[in-house]
Amino acid sequence: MAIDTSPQAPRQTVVADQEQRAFRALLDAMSRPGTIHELPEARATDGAWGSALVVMQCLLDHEVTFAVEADDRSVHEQILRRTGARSDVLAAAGYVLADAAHALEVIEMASEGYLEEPERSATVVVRVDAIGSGSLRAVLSGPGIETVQSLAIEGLDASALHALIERNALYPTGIDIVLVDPQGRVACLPRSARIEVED
Amino acid sequence: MVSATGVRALIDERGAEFEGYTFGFLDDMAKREIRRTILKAVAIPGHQVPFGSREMPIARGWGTGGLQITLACVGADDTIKVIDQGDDASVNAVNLRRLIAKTTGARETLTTGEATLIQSRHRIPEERMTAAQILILQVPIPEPLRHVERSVASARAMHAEADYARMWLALYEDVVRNGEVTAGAGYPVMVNGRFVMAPSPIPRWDIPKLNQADTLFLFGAGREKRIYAVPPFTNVQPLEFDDYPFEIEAFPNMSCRRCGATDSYLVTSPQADGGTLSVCSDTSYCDDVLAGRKVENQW
Repeated sequence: MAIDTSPQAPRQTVVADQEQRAFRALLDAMSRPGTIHELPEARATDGAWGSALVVMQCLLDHEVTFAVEADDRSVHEQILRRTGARSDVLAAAGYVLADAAHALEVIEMASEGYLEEPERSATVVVRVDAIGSGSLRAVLSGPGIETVQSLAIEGLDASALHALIERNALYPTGIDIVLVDPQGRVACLPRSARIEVED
Repeated sequence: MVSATGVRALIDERGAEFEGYTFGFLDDMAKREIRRTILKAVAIPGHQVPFGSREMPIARGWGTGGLQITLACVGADDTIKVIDQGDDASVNAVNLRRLIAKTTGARETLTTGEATLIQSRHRIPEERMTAAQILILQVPIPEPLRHVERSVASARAMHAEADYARMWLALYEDVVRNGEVTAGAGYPVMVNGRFVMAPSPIPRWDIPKLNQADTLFLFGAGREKRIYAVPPFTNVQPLEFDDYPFEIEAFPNMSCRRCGATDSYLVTSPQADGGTLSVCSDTSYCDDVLAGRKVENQW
């Protein structure tokens, strides 16, 4: 039975609407590891960092810290300006944005939290060339996955995933990965996922 | 027939009630913090993640945790359902649903199958929920170890070390004293083989629905400032002994007085004539059965 709702509800601002839709895409991606979801459209002027910035804007504000590990560091300035989050060193940052070339280093160095507070670990956003196609294949199982879930990734080295498996071996401490590509796709590798690498 | 200017005036008049409120009542920073917390909770199934529970226009203990999760998730294209012990029409459920709808414009529904977000107190719907839906459960006491360990710090250490010996001992003592594990609502469960979790005060009837479900379950405790989650397709096992297995409530030779259902969780109340009256706890399911609609999805 549908109920008619009066039409005077407050409107979502454009930015808040984008953050809400980005969050729901992230929530779907995080609760079903390895499945691919669409982020809301990024600003055209953000270029290859567009989808990554959509994710960072959705999650970051002055209460958290971040680090950027990438050859092109222009995005660092953009995150500071748009979110008000504080910049920190890689090993201490709550949120880390990396390009694929720095993924291995970031996965090895980022904070994994503590046994009593495993949530105080880094969420690592990695920009790859493409999600859903590519030579690197991660075969996932565990919470959120009925049997197995296969995810193809373009532009990420297998060593990064091997490092991730090692980092997350002492579950529940560990790091959660958000993969984004410039086409606006997102997929997650939470620490609860068991990963096998095929390349 | 209402004139266009009449409608405009009505909108203006009633719109004034919500002037100055943001979409979804919570400010953007509150939503962002809750969203960060939810994502962490999903990544660590069954682990309680602290969050900065906000003051809400309802009292703590009346569903503020669930409400904050709902408001952090909801978009204008969502369809929401709120249930209180299975009932859409209780005062609390109606108030929460109206608050969510009026501050977001999301559609309201009483039908399980139509909803994208369902906020619930103490029940999981009888109709099997789908992958397109999220169930948000209100939680009074998120700490399953509260009854065996009063110190929050010590309980946290026990979770960290997966040391649930005292929980098992308490269950064993229950069996020794009473011949069974007497826990009714909120039976403790093991999530993903790692964390013992309080499933909120749902009846035992609903516990098996948490295991390997299609749906994401989010748990919010506003007073205790904790959020936790059970992702879809996650192992959720009630704590049980080999020789004292977990059992759900049985309703032998009973059916719903209103719709006649024999396959739903019944609530029974004593009557003046000394008899009892049993009806479905889930009013949406009861309505479906009464109307002769076939509920396709079963848990």
